[in-house]
Amino acid sequence: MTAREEQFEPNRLSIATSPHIREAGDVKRIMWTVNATLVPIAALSLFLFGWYAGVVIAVSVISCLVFEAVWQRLSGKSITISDGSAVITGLLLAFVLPPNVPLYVVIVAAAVGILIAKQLFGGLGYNIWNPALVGRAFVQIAYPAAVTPSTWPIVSGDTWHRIFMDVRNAAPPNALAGSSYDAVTLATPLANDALAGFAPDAAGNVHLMYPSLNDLFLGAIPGCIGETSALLIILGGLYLICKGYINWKVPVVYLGTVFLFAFFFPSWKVPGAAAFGGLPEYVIGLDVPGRFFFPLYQVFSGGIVLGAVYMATDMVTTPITSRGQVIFALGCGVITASIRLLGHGFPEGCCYSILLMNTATPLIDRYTRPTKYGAVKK
Amino acid sequence: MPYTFNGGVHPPESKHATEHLPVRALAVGETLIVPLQQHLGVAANPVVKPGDKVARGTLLGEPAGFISAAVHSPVSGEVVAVEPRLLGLGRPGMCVVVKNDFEDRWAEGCNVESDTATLTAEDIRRKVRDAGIVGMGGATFPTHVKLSPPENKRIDTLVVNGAECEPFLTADHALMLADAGAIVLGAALAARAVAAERVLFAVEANKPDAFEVLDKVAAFCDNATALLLPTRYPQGAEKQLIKAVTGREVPSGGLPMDAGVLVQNVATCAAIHYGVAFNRPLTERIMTVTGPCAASPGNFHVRVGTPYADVLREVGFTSIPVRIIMGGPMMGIAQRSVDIPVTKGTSGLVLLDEVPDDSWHACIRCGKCVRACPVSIIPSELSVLLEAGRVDDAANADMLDCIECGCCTYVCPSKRPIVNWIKAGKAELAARRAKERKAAK
Repeated sequence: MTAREEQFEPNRLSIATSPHIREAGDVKRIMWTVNATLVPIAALSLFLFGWYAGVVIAVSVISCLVFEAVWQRLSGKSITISDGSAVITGLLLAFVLPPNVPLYVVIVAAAVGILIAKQLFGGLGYNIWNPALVGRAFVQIAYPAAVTPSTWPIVSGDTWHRIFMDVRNAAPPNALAGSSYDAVTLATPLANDALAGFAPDAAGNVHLMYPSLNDLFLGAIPGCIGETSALLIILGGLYLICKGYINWKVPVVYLGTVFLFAFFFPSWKVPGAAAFGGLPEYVIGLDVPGRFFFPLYQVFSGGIVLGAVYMATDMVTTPITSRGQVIFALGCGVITASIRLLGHGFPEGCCYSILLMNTATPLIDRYTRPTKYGAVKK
Repeated sequence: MPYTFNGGVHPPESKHATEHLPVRALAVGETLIVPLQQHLGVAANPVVKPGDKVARGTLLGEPAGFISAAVHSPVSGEVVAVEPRLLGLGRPGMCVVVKNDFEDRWAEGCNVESDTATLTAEDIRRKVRDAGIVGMGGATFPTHVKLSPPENKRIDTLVVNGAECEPFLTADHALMLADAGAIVLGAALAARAVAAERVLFAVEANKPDAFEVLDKVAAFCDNATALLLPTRYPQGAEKQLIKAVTGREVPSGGLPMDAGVLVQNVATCAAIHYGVAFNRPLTERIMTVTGPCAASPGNFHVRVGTPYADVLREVGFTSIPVRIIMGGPMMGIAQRSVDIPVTKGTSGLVLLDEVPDDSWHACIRCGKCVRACPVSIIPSELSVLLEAGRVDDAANADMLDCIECGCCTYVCPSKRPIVNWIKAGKAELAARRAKERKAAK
């Protein structure tokens, strides 16, 4: 073929401004990659908690997709549910709900997350708060009983390594009297009074029953659907770090901050723990990794590993520079540790810490602008 | 190598097709279209009229002011027209159309070797100006202006830019292999013109052979060193290169001389050598013609004024290009026609068989553009402001510091045309300020 001029009639050549090449990869690929790393966590939850956990996950994801599609249809926008972002919200929302949560609660949470937190603000990219966490925070206040995990995994952890502790006051708190000890766990094992189950020994003394750190790390503990296995969450996070989708500093700083607070201030215990004789001292006195036990328990219990890896790293709702992200993570860590160690109402601080720091994101962005090239040095 | 620059990207280099090919001579065509504006600044004034006989090197247009450049005839022959023609920037511009008589006669006094040992800085500047030399890396700023720093600016370092960081292009690479001596001698002249104490030749790591050659011949120039830099776009951008080789930053809104540095492209240095030592006006250059649609891609010696069609006929197509870019794919300009002529700044033509889809989505604040930005501004913020038409807010958010390298747009997963918005925003701001100045008068 030769370069004949007539092959280039006006408008035959495509005109656009540079750049004329683009890097491979788009929003869809990012979102679906994140979803792919969430699948093993979902699978483990089915294994641990049974088929109903799968129903919760399915209802959550489908609700999110339906609410997003309906909103976009009604508001005359193009329907973008194939971008995978609503699926992420659905999965993460299910992951922060307990395995026995009623389905209507899941649907309400999905509606609040997708319609109010995401679409009312303009949809993907414009939301201020993490939609899954807004949904969760709403139902936690609206249906507190339904959102408290009270199910041990059907596949229990290594029971032999569970830690039994004497309870100084032989009688458990009134609230627990008469209930079946096996079924009593409060929230997730947060190394305070909400930590454990109760079990009577042969002599009839009631013991507080703690999962081992191993169980805690692997996920064979009571808790929300997707937050129990630190191992799978960390593996998923490592993959996303390798892909460049999340900043490794965020989970490290977040979890590190909580660890350090628990390490240096174990006595900031929740007053409720006093009923059992001052838990942190007990913990430290145990024949387990000494001073590291309590902080490790703090890091690997509850939802903060999930929050640190998958929510404090959400692109839309967190600061845009690495420096801002570190400040964000630090704030999350401080707030979580404060809620957990000093708070009276909530055993868990992850959800609110991230939502509060989401609110601070524009402020952080403003004060963490990079020094531009050629700026006059002061 | 202790220094580097912030941000940047590393797109597929796509240089394999032409990077080791010797420079091919291109048969000079019958008609050459010589634009009177091949440089930044004011167009040259035509000094010929239709019917005039010209030789190679005959002045066709004289500089109209200080920031302007002379234009010379690339062939011997006859002027057949002085008229506007479509040019590479997308608009018509005045051109001198020369009919080639194929005798290739040089004009009197041109192509004659002269001694450079006794030339003063002013002599060098004058000869560079007379030779119509402009920055050949693509910016086409008149070189004699860059060689004329004001009294109060001290330039201690000349950086010779052989980075050639744009994908596809290998013209500078080919020149460094073929004519490194001219580059070094030209650099020595430029250094003398501004009294620079040292000369740094900067080459990216994907051209180790060019580095070796320059490293050897650098000895012909006083206090010269060749540096091998890690390959990263936009290393060849003046400010980024200065940061990478000297660690200095050009102050925001300032010029390289404010950092004590002069940057010249390798091809410009070679042109300085031939212009000053051989009295050869700048009428030809090396250009790369390549891309997925190029059947026989290569590096070519091309006369300024050669219509693209003449070069493309030599190269041939494997398929009809969807887009033809003058320059590289990151900052190059899409061309509207193959009748547009090659100019002093045409480093290459890239023939693309596919172009990016132009649909885009909301910013998800992933931060990739922030990490890629070589001037450390926040492109995502600018994109949101400019999408909403908030040009003044964008100006307050460092819009004017943007060097338009396109890294942000290249990496954006939402495919947002960030740099396009920035260019449009700058243009709107400039137009408005011009209007305000007019109103104030």
